[in-house]
Amino acid sequence: MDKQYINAEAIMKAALKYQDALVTYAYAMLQDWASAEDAVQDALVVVMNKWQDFKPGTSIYAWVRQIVHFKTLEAIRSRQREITTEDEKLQDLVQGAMEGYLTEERADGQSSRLKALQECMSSISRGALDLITGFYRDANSYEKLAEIYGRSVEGVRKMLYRSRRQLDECTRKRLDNPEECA
Amino acid sequence: MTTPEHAGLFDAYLRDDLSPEEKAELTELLQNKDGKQEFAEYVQMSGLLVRAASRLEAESADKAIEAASRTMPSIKALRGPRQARGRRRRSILRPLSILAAAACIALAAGYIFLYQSVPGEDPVSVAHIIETSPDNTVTREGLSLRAAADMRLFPEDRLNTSSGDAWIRYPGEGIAIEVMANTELTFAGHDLVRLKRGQLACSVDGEKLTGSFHVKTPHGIVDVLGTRFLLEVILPSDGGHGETCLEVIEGAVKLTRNDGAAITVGAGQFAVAAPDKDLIAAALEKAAGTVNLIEGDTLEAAGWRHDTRSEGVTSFVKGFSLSRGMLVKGQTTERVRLIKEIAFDEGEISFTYQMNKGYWSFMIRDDIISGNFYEVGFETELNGRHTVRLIVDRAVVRLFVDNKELIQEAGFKIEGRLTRALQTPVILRLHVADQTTLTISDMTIKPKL
Repeated sequence: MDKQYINAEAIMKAALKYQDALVTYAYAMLQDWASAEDAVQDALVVVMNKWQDFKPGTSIYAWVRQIVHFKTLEAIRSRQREITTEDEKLQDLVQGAMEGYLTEERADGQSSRLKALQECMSSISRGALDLITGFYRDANSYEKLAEIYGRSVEGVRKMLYRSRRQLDECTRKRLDNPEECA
Repeated sequence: MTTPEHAGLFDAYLRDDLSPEEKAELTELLQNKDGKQEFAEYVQMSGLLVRAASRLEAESADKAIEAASRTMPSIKALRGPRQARGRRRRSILRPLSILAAAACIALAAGYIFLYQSVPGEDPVSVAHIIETSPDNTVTREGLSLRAAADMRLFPEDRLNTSSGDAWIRYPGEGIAIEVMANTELTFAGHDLVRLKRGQLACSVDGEKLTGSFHVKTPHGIVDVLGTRFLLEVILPSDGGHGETCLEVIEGAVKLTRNDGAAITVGAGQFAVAAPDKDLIAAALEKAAGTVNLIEGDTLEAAGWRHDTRSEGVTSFVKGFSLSRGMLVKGQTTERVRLIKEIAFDEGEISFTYQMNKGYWSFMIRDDIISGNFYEVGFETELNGRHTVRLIVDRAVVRLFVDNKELIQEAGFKIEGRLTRALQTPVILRLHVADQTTLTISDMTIKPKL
């Protein structure tokens, strides 16, 4: 970011551009979507307060992600759960995997990916959509969904897997050929 | 592409539900490059699915409103421009949620600049929270914020009152809404809220209202001018259609069902919008004078839900005529509640109760439209059968138990002071604690006219 354009507004706007990706990053660390949103929100408040700390010429995404990382660690500590060395090792590996994958470029493209996914969701069956919604939005377990929809647990698991794969393929296709899919 | 086995492993991780063996397996997988990539892709897609699935709901509600608007051109005309403005504003509302959280920081100037820098897109809030129970939430642009007094609400903010009531006002419009516990309400714009589930009490001052005001439910839309009404959306747990119940206290309300059938419900009437019920306005029992409850009406808080009104609660609720019992699923902090609105400055309430365990409380509160929220109430754990008499004389409330005036030592506690304006209705509210069985009989409310 060019020094002459740096102010609280510009920093916030730039940071908010990556909000979806940052929540995904926090989600991987915290294993809970609502907590991930809270952590990112807390991090953005820090960004608002400490925007002068941003070093011009460096990546704002990396800077904000680092703040999010601290916030996720705070959240993990606040759970007051015993953390074993195995947990810490897994945590480090998850962090490494997400940082390696969620690059600035991918973070930047997150909103296009979301838009494509939303368009793809209109192409799957009602039943599949209900399952997706029940699992991801309502956070129901496989067992609960099996009970709700009168299916076997394995049946729910398979259908979710198939629906998700279908959506994944459709999303990739839309991103690769936006005009063809329009 | 993730294999089904790895998908199960990743899901278990994201649900924080890994067994020690699975934890070891995932740790091993994440130590190789392909495993890292597979995991990160899966998490990213899971996050996108959470986000996309959450947005589905709001969009389908929008479509329903648009469908309803087609049958009501006036509504469409009224809300069209405002809705469009609200949507454009979405992208800059997101920072607002952060700024609201950081409101204490000395960046007010930058805050204003943030909005002024986008021509024609001022950050106009539609309403604000006057008071709320702790732990209620507002979802804004996918972020969950803790609801708080004085918090401004923006188009598409969703209020979830999981922990208790919240009170909302629309500045300048004379609209006050009391949102009961376990309600989900979306503030779609200056003139529209969407009640997905739960119950609200709404007062609209017709003289202050500049346009009109609408409440959309899964079953229809309520078209409001100056009025006071209660609205409840009941959604059964078996996935059935459910119903929207409307009770009008003052003025008149137009209720239009999703299929276009419409009815005007006047003061002292109620109507139910449901696919399988006739849309008719029926008279409520009169509130003035004496209200009698049927002997033996019993409230059992634990395990009851408000959608089981037919199981013995109906008579109690009907006994209160203007109120609707709201029985919430029993957990330690949840309560059964009944509300009664009646306009009097002086009057008397008396009843007999029988209780074997638990506790209950009775509150008198000023009308929500006046903006005063001082309450006077008493609570008791006094078991057995007792007769209670409450005398209300403007701002003074006197309590008699078994013909003896306010006896603290008997287990009653009185708190608060009634600071209501003259000629405004008071709200009488009965709370019954979880795990309490309470039988009330011979209740009479005698306003001094």
